[in-house]
Amino acid sequence: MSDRLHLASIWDAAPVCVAAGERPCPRCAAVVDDPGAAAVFAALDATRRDLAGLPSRSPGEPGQPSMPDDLRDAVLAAADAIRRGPAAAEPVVHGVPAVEGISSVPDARGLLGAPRASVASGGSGALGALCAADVSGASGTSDASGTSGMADTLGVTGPSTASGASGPGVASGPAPGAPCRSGAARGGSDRGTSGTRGPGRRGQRPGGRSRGRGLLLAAVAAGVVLSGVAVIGVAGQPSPTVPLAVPDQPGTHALVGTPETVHGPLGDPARQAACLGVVGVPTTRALATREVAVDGVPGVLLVLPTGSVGRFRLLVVDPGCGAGGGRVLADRTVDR
Amino acid sequence: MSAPALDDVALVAAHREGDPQAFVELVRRHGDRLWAVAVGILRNAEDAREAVQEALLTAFRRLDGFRGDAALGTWLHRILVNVCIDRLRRDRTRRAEPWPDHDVPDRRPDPSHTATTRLDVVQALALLPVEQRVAIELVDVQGHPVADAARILDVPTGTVKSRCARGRLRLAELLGHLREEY
Repeated sequence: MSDRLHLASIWDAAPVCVAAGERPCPRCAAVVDDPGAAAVFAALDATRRDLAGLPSRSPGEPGQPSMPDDLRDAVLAAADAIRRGPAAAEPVVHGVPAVEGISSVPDARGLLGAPRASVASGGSGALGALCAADVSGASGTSDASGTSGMADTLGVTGPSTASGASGPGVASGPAPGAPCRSGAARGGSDRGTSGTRGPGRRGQRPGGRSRGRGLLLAAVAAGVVLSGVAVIGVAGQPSPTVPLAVPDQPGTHALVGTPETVHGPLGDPARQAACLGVVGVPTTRALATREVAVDGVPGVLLVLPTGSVGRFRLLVVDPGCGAGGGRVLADRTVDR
Repeated sequence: MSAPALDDVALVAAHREGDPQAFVELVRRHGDRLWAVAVGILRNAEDAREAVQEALLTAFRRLDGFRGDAALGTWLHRILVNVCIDRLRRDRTRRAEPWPDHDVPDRRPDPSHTATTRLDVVQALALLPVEQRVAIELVDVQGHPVADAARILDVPTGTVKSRCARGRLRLAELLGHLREEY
């Protein structure tokens, strides 16, 4: 039988071309005296009909899906924020100008060097403690599983609801110093569409040598957290908030969660998308959100996917973040 | 501003001059088509939302550097399709489903079994290599001419034809229209 790929390559030719006196098209010529070729063409015709049966995507046709209004609003709000405040959307990371486009997403490295950042320069701090927490539950995609997973991430549900119940963060508390990208967040999803690479490039990873120290500090912070949580659990005292790290500890910051508010002000998907657009994060949906406080500053924690298995980006923004503007309080990528 | 009266080139110029309504009009003008392409390629509304937002914000940031070598619509599609391709590749590497022990196929499957396990078109498309899948989506599903698809994908037209041919052949097998040959 004729080579199938060759037949497929000439399949585009018009199937009817046998007008008297005209030269046969390649397709017609291939079919002549070859039932196998005819079978291939018939199969390709059937495939084309199947593809044509898919919902029409041609603009203007009836039933054509239009771009959702909230998505359009989010895009325009984000663009407007970029126009009004380019400094907020295109941070300078350790003196290296952010690459234009998606690659300029602010990440933990930018925050590590920024005075306003709430994450300690040593790679530890409040989110350093989170690095040691179990984030496996945060892989859910629905709101319900996402918030549940976030509670696991924070490890505060049990002790804060107290009355003897042991929360996941305590009962199954991970070993201090669990894998954590403390030195820098990897730019897992910040690859530019034109092949350029942003600050996530290996060669520009700052603080590479301090990763071990960051892990150590994260371990210390996590140890402090677990100790404090354990004390609270033993005492059985209900507490509205649970410290995840002790502010006095060198290189740590206080992150306090209120587990009863699992959705927070960014529970609304449209506002959340607008906020993420404003702060330059190329995603419209967090896996989970909740209200937290970083160094006493109220914020909203967003657990974001990174595109890598078992790795999550923990982004804390101000509670007012939305189409009107927003501010990143902390940013850290953690491994499961 | 009488934005609807301006063509894309004029809108880009207005954007460069700081007219905030220019980008609004560009999104209004091209948003539906970009959305349709994203939904068509990704077959998932959430993924499409993220892809379109990422693509439009990338375009917004790069609009000042748009040289006009291609039509603006083609340029926007190129950005979006690249975002979609990145997502498909990422999802493909992320997907790691265990193969059940009791369902390990023979090298040469039973023809009767093959005949009863025809896939639907969307499932079959998802099994194609990303490049073939995107080419077929653009040409056979979206209805772009091969030349347009080539410009969007930034590859020669022959490459688009080749990807389509290979993809259609594989689809014909997956859909049960053509017996697989080994």
